[in-house]
This record gives sequence, C-alpha cells and structure tokens, in this order.
Amino acid sequence: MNRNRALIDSILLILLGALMVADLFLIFRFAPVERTMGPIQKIFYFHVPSAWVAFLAFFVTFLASVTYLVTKRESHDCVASSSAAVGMLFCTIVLVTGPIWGKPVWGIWWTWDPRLTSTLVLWFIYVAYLLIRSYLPGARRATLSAVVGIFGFLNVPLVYMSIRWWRTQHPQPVLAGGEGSGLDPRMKLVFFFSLFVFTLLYYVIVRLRVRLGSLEARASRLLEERRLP
Amino acid sequence: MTGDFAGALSILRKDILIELRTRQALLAMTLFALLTVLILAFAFEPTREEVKAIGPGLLWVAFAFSGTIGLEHTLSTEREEGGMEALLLAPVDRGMIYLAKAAANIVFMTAAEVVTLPFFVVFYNADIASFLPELLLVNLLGTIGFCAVGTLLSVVTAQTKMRGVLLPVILFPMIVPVFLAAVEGTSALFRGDAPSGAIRLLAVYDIVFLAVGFMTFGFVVEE
Repeated sequence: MNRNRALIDSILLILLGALMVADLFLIFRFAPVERTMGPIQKIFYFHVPSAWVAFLAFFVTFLASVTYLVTKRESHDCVASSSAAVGMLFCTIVLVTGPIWGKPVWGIWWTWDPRLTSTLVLWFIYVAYLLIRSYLPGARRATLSAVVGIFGFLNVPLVYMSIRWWRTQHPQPVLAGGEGSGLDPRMKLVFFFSLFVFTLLYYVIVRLRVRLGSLEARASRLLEERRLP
Repeated sequence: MTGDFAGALSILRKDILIELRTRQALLAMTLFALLTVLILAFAFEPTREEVKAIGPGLLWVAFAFSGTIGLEHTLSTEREEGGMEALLLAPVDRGMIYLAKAAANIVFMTAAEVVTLPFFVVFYNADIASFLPELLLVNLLGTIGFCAVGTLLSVVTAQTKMRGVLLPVILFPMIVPVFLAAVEGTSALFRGDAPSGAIRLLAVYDIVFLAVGFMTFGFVVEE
C-alpha cells in the first residue's frame, strides 16, 4: 500500500519535472511575442495560473475544514493546512508577478482595483490562518484552524463585492470575453498547458505534504507505543 | 428553544450588569476611540471640506481600534476564575451563548461610538445632524458585522500562545468588507446620498457571519 503510494509519487514527480521544462519551452519559444506589450506579456503564463491555483487551494482548505469538523479525521486537517500553505505561496507569486507586469504596461506598480485588492486581503487572511495555526496548542489546533479556514473563505466573495465599488483597472478576462478579446491560438494553447502544469504542481506538493503529515503522525504514534509499557 | 433564549438573555444581562458596576471596558474603549480621533486630527489637520472626505474613514479607524480592545476585554473577564467553563456548563445551546456574547460586544461598542460621535463633531466641525438616524443605522450594522466575526475570532486567538496579540492580525483582514461598506455608506451620507448599497452589503455580511458563528461556536469552545 505505502510502497504503491511512494511509486506513484515518484512517477508524478518525474512527469511534473518534464512537463515544467516543456512549459518553459512553450512559453519562451513557441508562444508568439505580444505586439504591444512585448516579452513582458509572458508573465501572464505564470501570473494567471498562479492566481487560479491560489484560489483553488483556498477553496480546498475551506472544503477540508468543513469535512474535518464533520468527520474529525486528522487527514482532512492535514489537507487543509497543506493546501493553505501552498495557496499562500502561489498567492505571493501572483502579488509579485503582477506589479512586475503592471509597471511597464500600466505605468504603475499597484492600483486599488477589486482583483488586486481582494488578492492582497486574501493573502493577509491566509498568512493569519497559518500564523494562528502555528501558535495553537496541538490538541485544539485542527478544530480551531478549521473554523478560521471557513470564516476566511466565506469572506472572499464579500471582500470582492465591497471592493468593487472602486473603479476597475485590471484587464478583463481575455479567454471567454466578447469580440476583440481573443487570444492567438498558440497563446491560448500555451496558457492552458501552463494552467494544467501549475495545477499538477499544486496537486503534487499537497500530496507530498499530506503524506509527510501522515508519516509524522505514524512516527509519533510508534514512539508513543514504545514508551507505554 | 425558549429556555435557550432566556439563557442567552440572562448572559447578556449579566455582562451588561458587570460592565455597569465596573465600567472597565467602556471607559477604556471610549477613551481609546477619542484618542484615535485626536491623534488623527493632529496627523491630518483637515479643513471643513476635507472632513467630508476623510471623516468617515477616520471614524471607523477609531471604532475598529476601540472595538478590538472591547473584544479582548469581554473575553478576559470570562477567563478569570473559570467563568468560561461555568458558562459552558449552563444548560444553554452553545450557539445562543455566542449570540449573547456577540450582543454584549455590540452593546459596548455602540455605546463607545455614541460617546465618540459628539466629540468628532466638535473637534472637526462636522455637521452630522441632518443624517444622524441613517448614520446610526450604518454604524449599528457595521458594529454587528465587526462583533459577529470578532467575538468568535477572539475566542480562537485567546487559545493561542500569544493570547490577544493575534486578534487584530486575523480580525482586520476579515472585516475589510465591513470597513469598506461602513466607510462608503458614511461618505455617501456626508455627500448627501442614500447609503443603500452599503446597507445591503452590511446586512448580508451580518447575516452570513452571525449564522456561521452560531453554527461553529460549539467547536471553538469545546474542551
């Protein structure tokens, strides 16, 4: 059983490595250079998939928090915390790559636009989630962080709605938009490939962290048993 | 259910009674709100016109700070001499205990706000008389949202090794919608518009988080 899991993990890692190299090749060699923005537009293939992964990760944290409160199974708590940590990482990538693109294209690093601001607020919420988690005593950690995880995610739509009262400067979604918003087919292909690779990257990291968590739990159980008699 | 309701009412009555006898939280909260208003006056030195632009944000900075102090205080009184354990032993639904505690926080925070407002009017030469009822409604809805989330999170952070220090760190990003909507609503009133959008958003926020708090409080306090 455990052997199988380790084998699948290794296969996933090798596959992921190959796909990530392929993704880089596609982004910098295959996808055409955008006419007005120039090469800086390539950041889009990292920025948008990272944003997608961050939101997905926080949603997974929310779901795992709910199911933890219902089932009280340790593995659900482990999924919630791993997903939040990985989501935080990708959220940071979004917040770093955005201004790098924004400065040459918009002329400013930052604007208080709904998407930017919500992402920043989200980042703060999950930093606080992870901070509180690390300061909670072991026995209460899982339950209390689950409640914080639920409160945090329910805030997301309300944060977005409240910030929308300000003007929007962020580019509208170019993929499903109306006329004139289309992407070059090659760009579209590379974008979806990148999206897939980032999602797989997220899945593999969370998977490894959850496995690490269960191994840690097993190790401490074995130590406990040895100490008992 | 009626028993639960009566229990919640008596918890609320007890909290208000303690506060009326000791006046600890109210005094600290009000003084802190006033000091914030004072310090921000030094920081910005706004003219009468500028007050209309920055006044609403300034008021809510003061309310949020003093509200945080209040949340920490109402919880620390329960920690002394095992008050929380005694509360949990009461034959009252956990959700109702949460509602009673949130209601107590709402009462204290509103009281501090009501005392702060006249000082704001005097210090900043602000004219709020023409829309006072609407202003109080926006304040009340904002305060309910603040306390709905704050009451629950204060119980969570109280169990960390850092006690109250972490409360603002998690509470402030969570109340961004309350803060923005309350400030926007108050700004609309200063401009002479109706704050209907703000009121709607605050009402949704209040209902959502009171409901979630009601459902999850049992997990937060279980020993």
